[in-house]
Amino acid sequence: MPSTSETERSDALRLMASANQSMATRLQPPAWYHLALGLLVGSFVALREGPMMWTFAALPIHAVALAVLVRIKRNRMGMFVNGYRRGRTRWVALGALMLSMTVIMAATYAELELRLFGAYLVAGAAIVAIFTTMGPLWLGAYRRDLRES
Amino acid sequence: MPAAALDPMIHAPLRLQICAMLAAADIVEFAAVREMLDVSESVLSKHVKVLAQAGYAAVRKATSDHRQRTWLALTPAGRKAFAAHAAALRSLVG
Repeated sequence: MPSTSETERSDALRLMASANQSMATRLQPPAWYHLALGLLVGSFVALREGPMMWTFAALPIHAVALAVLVRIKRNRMGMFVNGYRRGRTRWVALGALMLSMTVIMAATYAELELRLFGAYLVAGAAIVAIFTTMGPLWLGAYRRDLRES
Repeated sequence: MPAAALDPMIHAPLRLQICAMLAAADIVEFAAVREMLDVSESVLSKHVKVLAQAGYAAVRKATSDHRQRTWLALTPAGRKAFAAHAAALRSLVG
């Protein structure tokens, strides 16, 4: 078992901080990534405005597109970080999920109960905005988590 | 906390940094780790091998975009060991 001096242990903590800093700097998705992700999810929600068949037909296409998008980002950065990782990031991801679910439920209510047609189109646009805004917030949370870990 | 709480498999400076990097992500490409640490492939391979033999790291090779890529990840045992090692370091420094 290693026996270490106070200096050695402080150096070890500095090395860990430096490694975290390198990861925080490297995790920089392409500028278009969050918009593309938002457009992908938002367009899927907006498709509910049409016949149910559109949604079923779009599901595999969107699933493949999502996998391709994530793979491009992962290969460009040389890493993959789960959005729901422990820490502040999880709260940002859950916040985005809750907001999106609220928007979808509101659109469903507006369409089915209030007969407000076009609600799913508005919901799709709102989801694009949510993803575009929350993506950079998630990155900020990740960097803060690493700085303080 | 006694020094015994420090894990000899993780304690070497380079391995400590590799573990810290892998702990901050789900998977990291070998080339990315090498670039961030500014070490040669052989040096990194040697340390990754030690971590893999200890059951702390997993190495997966995959072809993507017509390129062979090597992905590294901490195993659940590796994450647990690294977390314990980091906690021990912090408590020792106070």
